[in-house]
Amino acid sequence: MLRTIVVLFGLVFASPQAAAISFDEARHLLARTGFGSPSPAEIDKILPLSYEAAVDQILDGVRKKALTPLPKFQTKPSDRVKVKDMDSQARLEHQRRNRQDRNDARFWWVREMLDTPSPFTEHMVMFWHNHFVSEINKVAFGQWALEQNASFRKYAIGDFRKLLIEVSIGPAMMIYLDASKNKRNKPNENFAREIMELFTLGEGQGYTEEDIRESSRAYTGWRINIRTAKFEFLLGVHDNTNKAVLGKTGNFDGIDVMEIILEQPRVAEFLVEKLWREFVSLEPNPSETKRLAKFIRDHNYTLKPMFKAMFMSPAFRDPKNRGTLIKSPVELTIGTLRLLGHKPPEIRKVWGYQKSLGQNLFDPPDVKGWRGGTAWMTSTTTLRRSRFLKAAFNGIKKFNKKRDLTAMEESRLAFGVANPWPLQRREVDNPGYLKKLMLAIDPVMQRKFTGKQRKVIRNLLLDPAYQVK
Amino acid sequence: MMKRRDFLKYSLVLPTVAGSGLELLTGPAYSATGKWGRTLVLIELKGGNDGLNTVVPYTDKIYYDIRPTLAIARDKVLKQTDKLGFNPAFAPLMPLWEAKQMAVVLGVGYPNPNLSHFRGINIWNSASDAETFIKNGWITRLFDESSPSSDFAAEGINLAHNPAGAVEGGKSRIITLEKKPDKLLRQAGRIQPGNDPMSNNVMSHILKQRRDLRGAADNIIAKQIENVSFGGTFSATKLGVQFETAARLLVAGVKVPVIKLTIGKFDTHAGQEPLHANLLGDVAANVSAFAKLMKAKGLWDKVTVMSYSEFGRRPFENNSSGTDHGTVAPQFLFGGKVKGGFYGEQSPLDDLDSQNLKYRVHFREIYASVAREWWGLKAGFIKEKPLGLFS
Repeated sequence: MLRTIVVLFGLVFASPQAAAISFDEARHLLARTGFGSPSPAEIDKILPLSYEAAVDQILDGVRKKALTPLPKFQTKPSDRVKVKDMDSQARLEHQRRNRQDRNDARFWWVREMLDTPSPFTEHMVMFWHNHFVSEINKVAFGQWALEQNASFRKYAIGDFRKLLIEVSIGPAMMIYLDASKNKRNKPNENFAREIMELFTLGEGQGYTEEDIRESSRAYTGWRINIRTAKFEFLLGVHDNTNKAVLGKTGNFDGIDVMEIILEQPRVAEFLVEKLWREFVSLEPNPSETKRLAKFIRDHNYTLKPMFKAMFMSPAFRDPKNRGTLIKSPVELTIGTLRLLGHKPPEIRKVWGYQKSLGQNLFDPPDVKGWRGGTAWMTSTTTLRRSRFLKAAFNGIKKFNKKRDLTAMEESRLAFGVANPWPLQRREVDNPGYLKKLMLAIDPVMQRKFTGKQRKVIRNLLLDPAYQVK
Repeated sequence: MMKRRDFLKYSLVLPTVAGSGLELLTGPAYSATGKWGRTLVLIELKGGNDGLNTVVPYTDKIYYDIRPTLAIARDKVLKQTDKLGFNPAFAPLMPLWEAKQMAVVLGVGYPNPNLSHFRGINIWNSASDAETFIKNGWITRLFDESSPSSDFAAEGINLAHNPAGAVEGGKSRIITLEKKPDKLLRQAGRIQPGNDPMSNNVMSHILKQRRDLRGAADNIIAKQIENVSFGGTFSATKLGVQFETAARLLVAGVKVPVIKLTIGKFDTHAGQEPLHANLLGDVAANVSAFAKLMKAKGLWDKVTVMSYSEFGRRPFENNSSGTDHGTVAPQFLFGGKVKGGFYGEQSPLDDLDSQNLKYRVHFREIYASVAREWWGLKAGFIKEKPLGLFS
């Protein structure tokens, strides 16, 4: 009842063209920009708004800093100097702490995803993590991984030029792509190749092997100082001669080369195609790519206007595109726990499920990142996904028995208990609500999907349609 | 009722299947269909196995010079030739070795080796060159030539929390039964595949996974696998559990071309001993127990056990009494139809390529043997010649 009033209230003040967003559109917008399964509270928040105002609210809500306090790391990058002199016992202890730091970095991020008021922020941080890939086991330090994560936040939908440069000269990327080993006469092409192939132009798009060789010379002299653990430029090992990159010749350094790359119109199109696959559908549309890429170029690589245009686009809003993307393991776990109102006492278990479903944060499979798309779903992950959903549902099932649970039984509840009443109440007020809330498309199974019983929630979670967003 | 009928079918069919397997062995080679009734049990030695401490060049002075703390003492080595011997942890395998049912392929690698775990295993799984990326596993690629018939439970049964690799991709049906196979089978057997809405490719993909899973589970459950158990035959290690499940599947008569096992922790950068010896001992004890059991059940001629690993390790030990990522290592095959002995040659320690061993046998030569000699296929995409590993 209250919601109806709020909706009407919104309508009164909205202009006639800007009708209030429909429930289905609100759900879709939040599902795609967030973790795949928005909660009733999140939907309520944008229901009074017009569609455009709802998009604005999500974009304006992007946070530049995380809520969760940073973990206290036990090892620091400057320890690298000392490791050489450690005896084997001390070295093993260092490795143990280092490993703990890496896990703490992961748990920190999982906590942030569970708590954030802006799921879109985390979605974008995740996107950049999978764009500017690094693997934490090579980067070694949790601190460095989180410094990179902070850059992703700072420029989540902001200035891609600054993001590219900041991430490229950051220790995590420099170490990951062996950029520190890049010396005059012995240039390492790894870094130069990934800048073009993975970060800006896309594999085989608008550059040649010669461009890679030439630009690799421009990045010589960059390194991470082992004592200060900071970026530095060593003129002595820099190749201080002319390079010919993408049709321009001059005595370029690495930043010059990135600027030259960013002059290519292809960069904006490459970004749009990748973002399209992330947010709209697995098949980018060439004319829409061109149209949206122009927003990036016209705003000098500030991404926000493009995001608005993408979320306002007919394809994004087309009901035919609903339910055509598989939820990633991170989306499935975080989205479900947020939807059911879980406050997991042990973040490690949430991370453990993500890992078993194929997405271990900070540890993408290789330099190309998680492949995503249908690759998320194999017969193996099918059962594991069900296992996760059952574990999450168990917390609801046992809610009333909370006081009677033995410590053993409680420890079997991976995510603690959660009160199902906020969801059930919606269903009581509005039969059929849960189905509309939880699924992007019609369910596949023949089961009971309406009613306030807990098994309705279970049936919806376990329907194959719950796997898509 | 269903169960009773299947039980009857199982008890009648099993000897017949074994018989037809033998006929195929001796029969003419005109058949374009793979002998998929023969199972390949793949063991991935995950992390990169240290070849030099597995098959030890115990008379090579360089070996002892570059491995001051890690070299296997000469008097401990299980000597087989005047140059080579096995790690003492391989003792349980010696009866198989003497019975000529254990092949050791020396110096296995490939050109331009990749030292990344992920890329390395991808090359081994797909049988690609170092420079090309192929999505499907090499055994999946064999299915393009001939695929197993519909009475097979799946193309691959994976028994560990690690990709099935060689049999992944394409239309392969893979079921993973790690840790508690009976529980997983019950879960998978309850999966309702659901109706395919057809309008949505992504949902079609999701529903295919569910159908494959359910189909495999039904097939395996119908073989009454819960009545087959070999408690105590294998070690209580993760690998022992996997071998036990593999044995149960095969003895129950489950038809599957590939069973995939994984043993981890081979990435021995620090404190390699005694970890590495324990890992080899785990492999040896369980392969030995598995072979005995398969022989007792009359299945040993229908099974080949084969090892692989993403790379070998650096000949020089590092400063942490460990070894870093390297290139070449020996690989092992066991089975009633395997022709035992050494193949290839040991990569010499005085001829290295930037500190790493140079390969003597391309890993695809082993695959060529398995594909052609074991499964009777042409395997046109494998250009290498087979090694003659099977009788």
